[in-house]
Amino acid sequence: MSLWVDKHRPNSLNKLDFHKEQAAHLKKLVNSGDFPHLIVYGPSGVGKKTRIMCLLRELYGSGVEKLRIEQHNFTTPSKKKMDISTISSNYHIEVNPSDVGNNDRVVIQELIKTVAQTNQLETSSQKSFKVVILTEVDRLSVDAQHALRRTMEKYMATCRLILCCNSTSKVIPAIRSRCLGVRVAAPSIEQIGQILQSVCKKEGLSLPLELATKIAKKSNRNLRRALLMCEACRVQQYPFRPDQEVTEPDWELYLKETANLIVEQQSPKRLLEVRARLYELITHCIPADVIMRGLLQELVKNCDGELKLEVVQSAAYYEHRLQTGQKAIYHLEAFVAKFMAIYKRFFEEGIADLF
Amino acid sequence: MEEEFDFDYADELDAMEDFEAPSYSPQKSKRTLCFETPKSKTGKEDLNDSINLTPLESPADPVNGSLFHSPSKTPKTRLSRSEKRGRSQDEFTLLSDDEDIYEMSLPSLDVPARKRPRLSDAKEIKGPDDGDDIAPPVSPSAEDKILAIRTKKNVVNGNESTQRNITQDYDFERKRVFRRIPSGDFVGTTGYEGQKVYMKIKDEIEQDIEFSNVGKSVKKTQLLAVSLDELKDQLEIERQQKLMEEAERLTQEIHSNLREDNLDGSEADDEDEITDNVQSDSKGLLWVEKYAPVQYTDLLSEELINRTLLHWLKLWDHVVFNKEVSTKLKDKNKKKGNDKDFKKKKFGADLLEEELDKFNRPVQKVALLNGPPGLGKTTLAHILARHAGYNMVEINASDDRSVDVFKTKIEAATQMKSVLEADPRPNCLVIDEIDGAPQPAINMLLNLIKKTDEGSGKKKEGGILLRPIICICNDQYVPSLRLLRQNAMVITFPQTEPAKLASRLYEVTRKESLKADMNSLLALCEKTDNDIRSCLNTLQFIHRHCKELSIRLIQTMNVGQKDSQRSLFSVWNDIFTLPRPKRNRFLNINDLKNEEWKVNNTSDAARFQNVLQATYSSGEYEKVIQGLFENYLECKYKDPKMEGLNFALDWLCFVDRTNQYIAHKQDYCLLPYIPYVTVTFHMLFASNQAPRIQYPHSQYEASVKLTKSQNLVTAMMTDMIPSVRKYLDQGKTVLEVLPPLMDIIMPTLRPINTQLYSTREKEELAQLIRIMIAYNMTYLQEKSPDGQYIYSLDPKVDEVVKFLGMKQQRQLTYAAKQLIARETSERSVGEEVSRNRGGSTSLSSSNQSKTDEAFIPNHKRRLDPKAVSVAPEEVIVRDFFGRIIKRKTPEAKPKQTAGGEEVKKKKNVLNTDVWFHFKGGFSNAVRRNVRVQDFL
Repeated sequence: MSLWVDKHRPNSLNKLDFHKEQAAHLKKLVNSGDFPHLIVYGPSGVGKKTRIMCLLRELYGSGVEKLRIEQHNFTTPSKKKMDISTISSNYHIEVNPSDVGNNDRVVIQELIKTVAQTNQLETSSQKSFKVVILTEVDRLSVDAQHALRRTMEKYMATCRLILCCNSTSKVIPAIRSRCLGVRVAAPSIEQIGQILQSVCKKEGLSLPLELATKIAKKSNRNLRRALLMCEACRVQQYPFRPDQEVTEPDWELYLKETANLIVEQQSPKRLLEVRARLYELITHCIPADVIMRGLLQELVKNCDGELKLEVVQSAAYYEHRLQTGQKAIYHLEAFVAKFMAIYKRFFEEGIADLF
Repeated sequence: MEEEFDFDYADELDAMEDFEAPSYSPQKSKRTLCFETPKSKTGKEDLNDSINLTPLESPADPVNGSLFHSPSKTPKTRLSRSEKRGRSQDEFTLLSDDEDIYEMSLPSLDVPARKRPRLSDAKEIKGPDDGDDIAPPVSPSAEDKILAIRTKKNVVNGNESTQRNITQDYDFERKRVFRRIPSGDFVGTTGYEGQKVYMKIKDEIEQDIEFSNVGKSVKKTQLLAVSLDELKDQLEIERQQKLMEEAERLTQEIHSNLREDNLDGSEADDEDEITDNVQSDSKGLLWVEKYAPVQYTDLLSEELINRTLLHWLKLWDHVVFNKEVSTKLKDKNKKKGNDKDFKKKKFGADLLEEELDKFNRPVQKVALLNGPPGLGKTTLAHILARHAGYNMVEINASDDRSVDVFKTKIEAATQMKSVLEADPRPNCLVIDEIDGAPQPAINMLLNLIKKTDEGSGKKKEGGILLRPIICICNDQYVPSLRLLRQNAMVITFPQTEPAKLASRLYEVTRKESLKADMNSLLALCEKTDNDIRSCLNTLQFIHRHCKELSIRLIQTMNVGQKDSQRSLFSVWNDIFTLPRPKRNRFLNINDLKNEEWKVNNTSDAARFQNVLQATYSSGEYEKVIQGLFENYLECKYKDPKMEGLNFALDWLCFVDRTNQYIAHKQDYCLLPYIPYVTVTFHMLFASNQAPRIQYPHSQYEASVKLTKSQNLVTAMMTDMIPSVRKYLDQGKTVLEVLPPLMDIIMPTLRPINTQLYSTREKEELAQLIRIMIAYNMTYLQEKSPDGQYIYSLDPKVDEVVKFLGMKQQRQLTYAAKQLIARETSERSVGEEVSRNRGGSTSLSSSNQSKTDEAFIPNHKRRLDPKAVSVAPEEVIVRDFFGRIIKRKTPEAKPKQTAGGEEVKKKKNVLNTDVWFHFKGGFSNAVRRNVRVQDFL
């Protein structure tokens, strides 16, 4: 394919670069002929999907790589029409129910049932079940998750579910208990470095180790990001230099600047400026929790030991409220204001102590 | 100044004088009007009606009734006598003819039956005067005449009527002795000459009854035990008694009141008015109707507005009445010339364009009155229309206002004139409550106005609007009125001045003998937001159970308070400013019980309450809170530790979570907690100086922008190739993929012809194109605002990635982008083809997938270009000299496409003689390679 990420993506369990032991386990699981529902979780960019596709290929052969995108139409009970696109092959169907927001329950009920209720025609030559992949299960509404639990048991004979999510904490226990959990941990920085180098080798380029490590560090142990950054570096400058600049995404830089603004000055006026920047971030489709985390990471760098504790605690407090609320901007601003208050108090106390 | 004013408004002043001079109330004139209309119809049945009308009038009514009769009485009686004489020679049987009955009953003035002949007489005589009588500007001469007649009549009635009795008018010459047997009862006797004679007997009682029944109804059908007329009589008597009692009581009360109030001067006048009022209005009348203004000078609305509207109405005079108004105005305009501006500023005449169009109509054909309810808009329209000599036709919300009905009604009102009724005045259409009318109806009205503007109306004269239309609404910003507003003279009603209103209320209270002082009335005005109707209703309500109006009463009263909606800005202002100390005018009864009702409104409790009330009254919590959020940081307040800020934000978070809960669970039990956030903000951030409050829009803007970026990303993702799309979702795309991707698709391309690229460069370009296609991106030519052509990324995902104030990304040159765009579009076709080809070849490589191919359902199969089975060998290509030459592949000259492998892929297709080039969309072109040789 085109980008390195896609071009050099391993397509069988044998070719996976890290967590080889886990890959072997998975292979055994598939070879035994049947497997339970799976829930694959782990941070983004660690190859969950890759692993799932390898698994499917192991199961059904290369036929699963013949993909097509289909549009499905649904009508909610409130007569609202919705479209959702699915990616499917003859053996599986992949859908992201959270695309339709609050109506994900309908998708679960309609789509999965229709898929699950149809049997494979030629059971002799093929597996007797289809696979349904649900992505971003952690964004599913509770209703949808409840709709899922019975379906999982009822249609066990004809379909297997593979759930894919970042964290199982938002998946209801009932579903967690029905699935075999497969955790895919983020690769280490060394692993990423090695992968980068091997990819470059395949491309006929030579990547200095220093640069590889630098990229790996900047990527937050996200392999996809690392590969994309590496390719961006390649486009910007080749041959590579060990001290080459690695461009970070704009939004991260912007977030860092915002954090600096907060640390610089604590006043309502500054808060107003920060608010404008927060709006800017939100409108660029940056999720509020990512903003919150990014801010915290930057802010904490400027704090002393005990202050860190307090800041992190308040961040946790506001992030929790953020999850339960509607308007992210209130909560983000509340966190910023809280930090300003804490920081200001700390600073003034420090000055008072001096004299 | 004064002079100027006088000059300017000479018309109106004239009209006003005309109107004010007589104390002759239009109501009375109306009555006479009604009184006369039936007569013109000449139905005998109508007599009953006219009789009905009499009791309604004051006890002095007979005077009024016989008013027009008196001058003609003598000839009439004489005439009738002679008639009778003539008739008596025939058999004078029972009085079967109505005329005779009247003659007989004539002497007794009290019998209502007398009326008909009198009326007919009156008609003959008063004919020419009719118009004056009806039209409001009654000429003084007519008035004098009437007064003179009235006094004369009084005299006549007082002195003569008693003297005149039956005997006086008794016809002595009538024949009472008959030779033959007369019909009816008779007594036979012998005359002094010995012959038999008969005398007719008439029972006295019977005669009386006959007299009283005479004229009441010719064909009387009686359904009741007691006749209707008797009942009426009884009622009349009772009513008169009541009125008398009432009058006495009132006069007593008023006297006592007056003594208390130490009033002087207008005492006598008041008394008159009061008795008038009491007598003319029945008791159950609402005060609102009873004290509705009946003439121009009674109006409470602002003088300027009254005058503007009147002026506008007067501008129609030229069209409607053929009066020359325009010239006068034009002269004036010419004369005034330079100080026109000044004048306009002064009198606000700029509301109104004084020019007339070519049909001599005012430029603005519709007046749109708008303002809150209860300020007297409808009353103003009615009074002015009447004042200007129009006949009112009203269409309001109670009527059917669907387009067809509306149209017929408007046409009827503007183009026709009542013929049947005696009232010959032109119509003035008043469309009340137009803000509720459906859009099509209003469009119809607009068309009517506009049609006249085109001038084509001249041909079909019927189409022109020749009558003024006044529209009345409460909210001029209703979407359906938008176009009308542009074409109309919009007059916005301000609040009535409290002082003016209160003084009028004071008059009313005095007339109704309700004790009240100015202060309490002012308080009432304030409480009702200067709503005249509401004030009067409240007063009447109070009048029912107590006779004194005090401030205290108004403060504690639950009636009359409007559930008013306050504007968002006033609510925000209340929240962000500290209240000025002032005494609370209105308090709850609960507070009164605690004897704390004199609390200063600056106390915390009062502030709490006030802010909460303000929030409640606005109703839009969401908006209010958003406004707070966007404005609170700009307030001036002391909060060095930023604790208040934290507290306020915590409240906001709480509200947000509550809202989320409510929306999610549809459980509104938590809703009452939400308004308290405003109190928090007030307590924390209120200052003496009101901040400049801006309308909150950033949230909305942000959500719009967010949707836009989301749509961009979705657009990009929907058409990605599935194998790429599979591994991505929206979040990952934005956070991880797009930023580096923007760098990756901007390689440095040498600005030279691609044919000169090295293989490595060519490879890079091909790679770039592949990426562009895989991620569904391309460049599109656009025209920038400054007129230059630029290429921009097609789903403009770069906007999603770019941040304000961040370092600018490297941009490709125009030429490079153009190149890429072209390549992409060409390649995407090739890609499509090769993907299918590649797909099938890869399938054929594995055994299992071969079987799969069979399972592809028909509708999912793609049409692959197939080589036309013309063997290339058959066509033997010869050169000019007939030698067979080795055939070259007819592939296109090394187009700029480069990318050798791609060409190879295409080869299969290109090798055939006929191929189908499908470039998305519709194409019916089948291409074929034709060489020059083939033509030779």
